[in-house]
Amino acid sequence: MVKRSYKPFFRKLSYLFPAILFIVLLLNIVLPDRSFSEKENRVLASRPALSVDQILSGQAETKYETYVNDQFVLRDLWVTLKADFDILLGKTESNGVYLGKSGYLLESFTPPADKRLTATLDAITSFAQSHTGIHQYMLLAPNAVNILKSHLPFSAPQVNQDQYIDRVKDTVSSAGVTFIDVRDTLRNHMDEQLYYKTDHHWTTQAAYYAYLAASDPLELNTAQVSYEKLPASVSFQGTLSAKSGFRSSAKDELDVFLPKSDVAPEFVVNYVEERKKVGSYYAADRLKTRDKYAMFFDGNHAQIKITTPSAEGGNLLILKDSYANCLIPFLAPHYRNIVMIDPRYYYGNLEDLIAAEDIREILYIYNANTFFADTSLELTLVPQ
Amino acid sequence: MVFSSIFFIFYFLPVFMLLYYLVPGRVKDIVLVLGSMVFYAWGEPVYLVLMLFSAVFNYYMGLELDRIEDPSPRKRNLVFTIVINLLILGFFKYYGFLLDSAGSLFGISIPHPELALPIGISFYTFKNLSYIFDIYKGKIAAQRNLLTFGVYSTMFPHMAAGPIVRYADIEEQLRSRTVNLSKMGIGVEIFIKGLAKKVILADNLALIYNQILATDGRISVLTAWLGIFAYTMQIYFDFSGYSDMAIGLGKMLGFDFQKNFDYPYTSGSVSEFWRRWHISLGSWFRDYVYIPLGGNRAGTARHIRNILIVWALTGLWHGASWNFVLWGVYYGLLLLLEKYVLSRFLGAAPALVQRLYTFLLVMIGWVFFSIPSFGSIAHYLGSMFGVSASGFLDRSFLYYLRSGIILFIISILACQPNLQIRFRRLMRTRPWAAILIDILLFVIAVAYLVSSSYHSFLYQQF
Repeated sequence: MVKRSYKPFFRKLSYLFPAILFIVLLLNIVLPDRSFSEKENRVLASRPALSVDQILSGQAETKYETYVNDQFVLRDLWVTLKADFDILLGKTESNGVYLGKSGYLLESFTPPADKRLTATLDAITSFAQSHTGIHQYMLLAPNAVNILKSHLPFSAPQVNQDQYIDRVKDTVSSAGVTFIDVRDTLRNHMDEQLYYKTDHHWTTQAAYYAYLAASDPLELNTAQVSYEKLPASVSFQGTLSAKSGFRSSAKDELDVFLPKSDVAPEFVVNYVEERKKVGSYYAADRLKTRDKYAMFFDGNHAQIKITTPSAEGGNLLILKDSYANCLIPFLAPHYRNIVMIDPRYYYGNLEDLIAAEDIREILYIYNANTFFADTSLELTLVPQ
Repeated sequence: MVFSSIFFIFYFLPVFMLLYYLVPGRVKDIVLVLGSMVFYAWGEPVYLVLMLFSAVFNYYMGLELDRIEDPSPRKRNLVFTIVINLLILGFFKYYGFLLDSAGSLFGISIPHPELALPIGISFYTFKNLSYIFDIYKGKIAAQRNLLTFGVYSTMFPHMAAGPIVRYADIEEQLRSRTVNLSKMGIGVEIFIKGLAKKVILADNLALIYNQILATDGRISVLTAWLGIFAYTMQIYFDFSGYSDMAIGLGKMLGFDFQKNFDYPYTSGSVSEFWRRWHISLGSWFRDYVYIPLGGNRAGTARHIRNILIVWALTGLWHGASWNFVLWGVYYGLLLLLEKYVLSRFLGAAPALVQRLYTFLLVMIGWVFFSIPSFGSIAHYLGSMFGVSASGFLDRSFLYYLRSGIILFIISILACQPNLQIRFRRLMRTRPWAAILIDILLFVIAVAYLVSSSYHSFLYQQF
């Protein structure tokens, strides 16, 4: 029974709550759907087509609920509110991303299953042993969670990435692959910005240091070119803020290093599958999208060929992930031909490619997190 | 469908409520049954048939029991009804479990198809059984109107996760109930509190315990205790939150259900805990299993047997897995221990000691409840008591404590009556302030619900 004095409260609530539900219902029906969320960096679910089969199996209902969530009125605001409340509750980790010190978001490292890692390393080893005539190098970039350990939230549980990198180093070295260890170099420059605060990639600055560290084993003459750093964008919002919801309005600066020279270098970047040839490493129109890091070589492509007028080096094959994209512009002037292969998208035959392009050197460029989660490299190296 | 979803709150609920409030008198029953069928079928339409069968079957058997006066065919009828109900429950819930258990007994593996558990089958089976038992005992008369019985048996508020509402308790309301706005307001209040408990507290607490459970290798003693503490709070806010939502929705429809949780973590003994935790289930087992078995009136040996049977079954009711049986038997033994040994000492102890004793035992109980495999249970208990722990205190404990401390403090406050008493005072003295708090809780809960589809389609961008 309602006591008299509670009545005003319950009455007010009994009008307010249904009113809220109906207003929101109306807005949800009236307002148009969005196809993409810039804030979350993902495609939003669209209204599912309904069929009797799907309804009976329950699939349609699940899809419909996702659709309703994704298209909820003022979704971005709700997502921000949730993330802010998470921080208020003291949460420092979300979806595998740590909210670190000085504004850094750091992607946590998931150690690979032993079987998985062994399979990849076996593939690299056997490939090295069957191609002894080709010089092979590997650059395995450590991630922010490794180099910027000190920026992790207070006593965050972390698996040491170095011990896994060391295992790769030992294994590939004994197979004859030259391991280019950039960890010390990066640690020496820790106080500079080596990683984006909101994205999982390393900065062009870090790639430049890695290039300097690699120049020794690769025998590159770095004195040949000098660079100046120019900001390409100051409003880069990376994948980590999208993935975690933390710092969703923070922005990073994204730089390019351009050679200081009066003569514009002449080279051709050939997107093989797309049949497109351009005269730049950079896709400026990507700066207008959320994924601004994709300005380096227009994101990830199965195969890209770079031809330069260089007299210095020969033909280099690079097996890589996206960390390589901002590093390769530094390497390009040193080689006549570079073939970039991203095994995750490449379905061609590597042996044929090596023969056709007369490859003399192979360089693996990966970041540790991707390398340890990768399953495609082994299939490209040793086709089943 | 679940209550804690955007689709339920912002689509199903307003449309259904509008219809329910617009139509007159008995037509409300039709809207309620149809709405409940939509609610039930949403996401798993096939099992709607099973749920409806159970309702119609028990409706019919209720009429039969009412009609037959001769005791022996009456009893046969009762047994038949119970057997059919339990066979359905057994087949859909325990089939795989029984085959696996039989298989491991003989060291073989018996292949069987994995059946999806029909939503709410344990709840509606028990609800319908209570109706049958009560007719048999002459406590109630069978409901002659199929529609009215349908309202009782299929009503969506308590369909999926309880409480196990007794027919006798709502018989009057099934015939005629007041549906008005101030009852609506009461219902909204309870619903919002339940939603906030589930979405803001339980789901966030779950992240902490799951992270600790997922740790490779050993954890420290304090981390283990912190983990099970988080789970202790999680399961309470999850389960009681769901019950609150059901009770609140019932109020909006004009029904008064009994409370299902009564601040169980303030209990001074394990037996008190079970009078305050999932009350509708505890009283079901008491009235329909324990007392018919003879309760405690047939000597100590029989009493011990009855307690152990009841608690093994209570455990098994929670899930088709041996860890639930273990959990149930753990409580059976504790209750016996309390009754025959501890009650003398416990009664003399200060209230704080009583509560601490109960809370610790309940926390330990949740280890059995939350971990399916016996090996992992032993490992976790080992961590709590230092046997298989990595040490007493480590950095990860500090990390979890730091990331969970605010939730823990809110949880401790919210599992005691004080906060709610203060809020009720506010409702009277400053209604707008109380409404603002409720709306704020609702908004935060909705923010979590909207964000829940966030992670499901994340694609890797490497």
